[in-house]
Amino acid sequence: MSAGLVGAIGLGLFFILLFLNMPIGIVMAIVGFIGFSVIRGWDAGLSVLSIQAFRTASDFNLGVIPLFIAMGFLAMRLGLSTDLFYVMNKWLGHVRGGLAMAATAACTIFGAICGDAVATAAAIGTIALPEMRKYKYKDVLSTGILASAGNLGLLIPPSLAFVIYAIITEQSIGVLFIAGIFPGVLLAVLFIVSIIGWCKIDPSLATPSPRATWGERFKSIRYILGSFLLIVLVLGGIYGGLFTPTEAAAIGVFGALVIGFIFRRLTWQAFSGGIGDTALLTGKLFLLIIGAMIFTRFVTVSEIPLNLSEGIAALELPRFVILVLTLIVYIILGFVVDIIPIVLITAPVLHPVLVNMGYDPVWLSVLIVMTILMGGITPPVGIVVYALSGMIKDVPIFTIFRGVFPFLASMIICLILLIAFPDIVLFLPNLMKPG
Amino acid sequence: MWLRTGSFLKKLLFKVGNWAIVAMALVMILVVLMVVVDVTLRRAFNNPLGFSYELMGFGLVFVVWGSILYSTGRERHISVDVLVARFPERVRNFLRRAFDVVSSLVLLAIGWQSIVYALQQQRMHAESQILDIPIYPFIFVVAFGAIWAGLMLFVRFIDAVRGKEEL
Repeated sequence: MSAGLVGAIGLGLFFILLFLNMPIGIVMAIVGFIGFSVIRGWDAGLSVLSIQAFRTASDFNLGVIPLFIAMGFLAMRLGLSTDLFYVMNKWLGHVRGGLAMAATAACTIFGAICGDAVATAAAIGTIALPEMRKYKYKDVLSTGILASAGNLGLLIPPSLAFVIYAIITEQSIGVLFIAGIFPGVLLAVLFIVSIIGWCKIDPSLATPSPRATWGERFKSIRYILGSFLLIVLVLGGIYGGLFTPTEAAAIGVFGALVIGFIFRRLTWQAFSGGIGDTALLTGKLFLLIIGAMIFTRFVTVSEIPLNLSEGIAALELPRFVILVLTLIVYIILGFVVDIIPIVLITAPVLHPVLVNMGYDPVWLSVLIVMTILMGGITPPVGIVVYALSGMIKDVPIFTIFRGVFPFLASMIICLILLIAFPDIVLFLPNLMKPG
Repeated sequence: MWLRTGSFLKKLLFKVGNWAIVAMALVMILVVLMVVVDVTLRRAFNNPLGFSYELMGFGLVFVVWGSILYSTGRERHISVDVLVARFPERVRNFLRRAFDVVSSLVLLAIGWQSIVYALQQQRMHAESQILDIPIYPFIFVVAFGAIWAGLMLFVRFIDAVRGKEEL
């Protein structure tokens, strides 16, 4: 049997098991192991299992994942997300739709501490949703913005999606982090514009909360000093080339603990809760990553990217059409699969194909992450909307999907802007000092 | 007696899974402190620790496999349930049980091969480049983590078959 045929059968088997609800990490490990063994022999296949299980777990670069997860969860347990929403509410709450804007701004800033979309949405949503209900915000707006703004956590650094994308495609984590800043901020601005526009069209969506005095507003700023210090420390260190992303993550964990200690919030409950959340997410992600590393070995020896490149070249389509088709595939995948597994599954196959066509790898990575995020909130099966619906049980899923539409439109506009003006993505990375 | 032994082993399996988080947390804190000291020494005194890269790699083995053990004992690993959610409950339960067995076998295979790999590294006296630390004990940590997680999934499957625990 030729390597190409084994690759095709392997991919088929992979999708069958994936949609039968087998844990994704195990699917990738099994298909990767069997496929690799058929091509290179069973002894080689068995040794791939052990070598990848050890190498992946002891990889210095992958250390960035548990450490950034710990930083995000500790910051959440230490109340930094609550502080952010409190301050943003003081500044924006009095405007019609202001609490939704405050939630967006809080998600943007908390996204610079926490690298996960669901964790960001949960951290801000837990505080923002009751507050929005108190001021009679309609569920369609409040849940719609929370489902959408959580995504900012995966665009603004430190983003787990970029970490994994960078490792799988052998790019610099720091460069991808920095590349995500402008698109993330642009998207946050577009979300806020959407809220303003929507509330202008239908003022019954939200009522303004009481206006805080200028004194109260300026006084509130001290509550976000901790978050800003943490962001400056971590992102400033990476951008300035002071330390590697893995070191930045460790320093971020240390910084979060010190801030918790200074603000007298570092309790045993907060610490153990943060560590427990970290272990749960780290364990789930690393089983995926170990599976993906085994799967990647199979993908490489079965020459799937090469065959795919040749197949696409034979179609003789303009490269822009191929890019658009690829992005459509990513949106469809984003409907049903979470972003991290999508990156782990597709990046080894599709990224080299598109880079060989002459696309900038950094720009492409940001575009792809943004596209998958769009899939996550697109009806009828947007996976992030379903996750949020599980958390907010008294709001029908249809209402959340309806609420997401204006923000989905913002994401499409953002994507078009990123395609039309690649410098939005590439400006900061081009200025970056070597790390 | 067999039932009592089985129950004891099950409790032990899941208790160790829960205690894995303590090891994970301790090592993570040590890693964080080491990196902070290393960066401070490097930036302030131009005198880095030098070995922190290596020790961090070894520490991560505990963090990663401790987390895998902990999460396996608590929740199901990430999967796609959009299609299966439309299946009848009996079919869903059957698939879950079958995949728990398969997952268990995969983890046991990783554990078994890690033991083989560790023994091979021990025979070859494989050591780290800077501190000359033997590598094989850390591969044994992987083997332990994988076998333990595999056994946890297998016990969960047995419980489900005996109708003792709803999957």
